[in-house]
Amino acid sequence: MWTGMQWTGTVAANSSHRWFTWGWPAAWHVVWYMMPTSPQPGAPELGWEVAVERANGTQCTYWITVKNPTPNAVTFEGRFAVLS
Amino acid sequence: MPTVTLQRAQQLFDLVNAKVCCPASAPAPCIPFLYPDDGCWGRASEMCRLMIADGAQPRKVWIYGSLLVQTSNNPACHVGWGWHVAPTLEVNTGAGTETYVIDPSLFPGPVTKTMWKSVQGDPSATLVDTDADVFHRDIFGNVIFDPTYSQTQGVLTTFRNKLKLRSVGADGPPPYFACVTKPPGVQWFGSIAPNDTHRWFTWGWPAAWHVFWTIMPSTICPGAPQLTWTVEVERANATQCTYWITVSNLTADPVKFEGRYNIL
Repeated sequence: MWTGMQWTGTVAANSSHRWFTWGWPAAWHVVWYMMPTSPQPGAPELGWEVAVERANGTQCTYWITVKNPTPNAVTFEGRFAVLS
Repeated sequence: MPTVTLQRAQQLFDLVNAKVCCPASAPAPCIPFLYPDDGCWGRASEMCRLMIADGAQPRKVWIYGSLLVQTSNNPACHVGWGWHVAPTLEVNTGAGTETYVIDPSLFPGPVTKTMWKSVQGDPSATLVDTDADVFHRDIFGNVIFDPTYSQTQGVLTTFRNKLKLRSVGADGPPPYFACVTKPPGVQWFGSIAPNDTHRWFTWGWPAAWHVFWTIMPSTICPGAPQLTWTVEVERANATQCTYWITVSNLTADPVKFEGRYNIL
């Protein structure tokens, strides 16, 4: 397994936003997870959902929707792991 | 002939391959690469049009023989042809010039003519090179041109419709899983109806294992997300668990997919 950070982002208070990232080998088993970089102790800051599109025979595009349930903007890292 | 780098050839391949039809809807002006049965001359003409519009100078290669190609995009897992055609580019490889074929119905990238011929099941097949403006060429050398691309559009329309009919029928959209060996880490091949949500379960997993589940569409349809999923788990006994995986199809087309797992 190897891991990385694909992007950094910000989600406004009580809202959600969708990002996409393309050109990933479809043969890879990839999982996505978010990590807040703006501490707000006491309650969850982010949730996320992943959807996937098969772009061609060898590549796919991931669509990641990040939700911020807090009353403040949250900055975060969009992280991935390629499983093996 | 002007030459291009292999990188440029890949760019041009990607340019035309991005026009691939979503099988069940196949809206114009997409190219029905996923219907390999027939219509290659229409696909080749449209690919040449797109490459020329992008500044390239493709040619075409025609192959004649008793051709038989293995493919996961036909329910029988193969297609038979008397002839076939695809665009070509002259590639400067650094060690010289070589002709590469652009044929997304057979390959995921540009390939040499030797490679292109080798998968078509007839070592004695003959190859003929022509300019890109030859729309149709029979084995006797009789040619038809299509300077306005009107015949091209007619051929593409015909085979888009055939792809759509197959994809909404009993066989569903390509690929056809009977033609595919299940790769490592794939628990099941699934199919999900348009805008549907369906739940699968898989039991007997050691509860001590740390297992991740992911879903990967097999049906190609560029432009928007196709599938999303959630995972639930049931502790069946002291040592085993059952995973329940709910897959949602976000599109108006049927989608085939792989249900994948990884043990961390």
